[in-house]
Order: sequence, then C-alpha cells, then structure tokens
Amino acid sequence: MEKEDLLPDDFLKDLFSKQPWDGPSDNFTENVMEQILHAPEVVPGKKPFYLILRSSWPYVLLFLISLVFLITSDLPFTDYIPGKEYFTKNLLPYLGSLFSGFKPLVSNIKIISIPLMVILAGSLLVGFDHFLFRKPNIRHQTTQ
Amino acid sequence: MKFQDDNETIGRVLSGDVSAYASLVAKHKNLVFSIVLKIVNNREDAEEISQDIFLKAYQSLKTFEGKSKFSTWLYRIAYNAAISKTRKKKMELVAIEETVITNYSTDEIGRNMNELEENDRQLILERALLRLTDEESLLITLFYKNENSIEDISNITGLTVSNVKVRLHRIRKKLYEEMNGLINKN
Repeated sequence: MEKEDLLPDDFLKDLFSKQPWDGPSDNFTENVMEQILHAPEVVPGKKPFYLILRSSWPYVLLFLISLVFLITSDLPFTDYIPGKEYFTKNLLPYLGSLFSGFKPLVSNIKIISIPLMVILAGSLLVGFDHFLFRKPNIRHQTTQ
Repeated sequence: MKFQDDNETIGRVLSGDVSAYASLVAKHKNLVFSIVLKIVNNREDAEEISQDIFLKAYQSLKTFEGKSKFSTWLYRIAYNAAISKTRKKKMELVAIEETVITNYSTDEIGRNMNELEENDRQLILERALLRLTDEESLLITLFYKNENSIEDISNITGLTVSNVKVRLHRIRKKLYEEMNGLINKN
C-alpha cells in the first residue's frame, strides 16, 4: 500500500477531534490587543544593500558590461556580434572624444597627495559602513 | 463562536479597523498556542511567545500577500518564533526509505479502541501522544486535529512535501503502536 493511502484515517481524525484544545489564558486576546495598541509601529527602513542582488538590475548591468567587453575585444567570434561595426567605428570614437574633454580637468589638479587619498578612502569606508549597518526607523503610533 | 473569513478581516484591519484583529487572534490563538507549547514545553513561556507572535503578525500584516492561507502564514511565524526562542534545531529531513519495524493491523487496534469508553480512548490518545517527541506530536496534531493539508504542513515547518508524508506515515504507525501497548497494559 502507498504511504499516501495510509494517511487519511477517519478513526484518528475522530479521536483527535474530540480532544480538547490546549488553549492560552482567558484574557489572551485582550492582552494581545492591549500590546498592539501600545506597541510602536515598525516602519521598514531602506532596502538592505545585499537585497539588490535579488533584483534584476545588477544582472542587466553585468550583461551590458560583458557585452561591451566582448565587442571591444579582439576575440575572433565577436566579429559576428550584430552592431559591432557601428559601435567600434562611430560610438566608441565619439565616447573617447567626450571623455578626453574631461582629461585636462583632472590633470590640472596638482594637490592630490597620499594623505588626501587616505582621507578620501577613509570617508568612503565610513560612508559605506553607515550605508550597510544603519538601523531601521521606528515611528511611534499616535492614533488608537 | 462564528468567525469571519480571514482575508475579509485582514482587509478591515489594513484599512484602519485595528479592533478587527481581535477576531483573528480569537480564531487562531488555540493552535498558535498549541504549536508553541509543543515546542517550548512551558505554559507561561508559550503564552508570552504566542502574544509576541500575534504582535509580530500584526506588524507584518502589510507584507501578507495572500499567496497562502493566513493561518498557514501565521503558523509558520509561530513555528519559527518558538524554534528560535528555544534555540532548537528545525526538523531535519528524513530518509525516504525505511524498514518496517512492526507488523500489526491499525484496523484491529482501532476496533480495540472503539470497545473502550470515550474517556478511556481520550486518555489513551493523550498518553500515547506524550510518548511521541514534541515534533512528532506537533506534526500529527496539525494533520489530524487541525486538518492542515500536507502542503500546509510543509509550508509551516519548511520540510518538503515528501518528507512530511514520510514523517506522518511513521508517526501514525508509532502512535498506533503506543496506543496498542497502552490498551494491552490496561
């Protein structure tokens, strides 16, 4: 006999149905409602950083980066990627010229030094730590 | 006491009628308490944890998507809360294959039980349930007393459907064995 066939058991069902419930105290419901009316309402904070992995955009970004890498690489099979010619002959030189316009801005900064880099890196780490381990906001219920 | 449909009540609570939540508490308190009591084995702790569970469920009510029954969602919160309070391990998967330990007829045990007075039958069931482990007692109560489906129990406990079937099959056998032993003793 299959195990599933053994499970329905009217005898046991009947026996269990006559068993009294192991219930909580008589004023249980009132106590719960009392707590609910006086408890702070939890307002969820921002979505934790690691949860973005569950959304689709990191994967879309990864796909796009891989696509750009493949298009700009010299791998033989990438010649067959549609639109590669347009990308390398028109779009890439345009982007190159656009970014080269910013180059003098960066190269003119003479004050970048090791202490400045340390300060910048430290600030980034503190900001990142604050972003990852911030506490959820708790708002107190005012209406009952 | 007649209770309203859970989803209807949830709608009222979410639209601002906080007092409507009392009917959800009243409807489900017994089973939530039973689940917790079977895991923590202490009435006072079970009462406190059960109250926390209803509070937590109220605060998370907005996240209830209605994909499963409200009761299944609530019992899962109850099960997880009780497990985490007692630092017990969740039920582990069991091997599907098993050897038959005893050979007996459940029908025969059922017939013997039916010859007894109702009070004696309940006493034997009560004693037989005490001989099961907490987990076994919980599973069989959910299935035969609360009439939860195997899928519901799988959602509550996190076990696979096939494992719930295997466990229930074993527990049922064990329960009959225990009842048989108690009948023969009397």
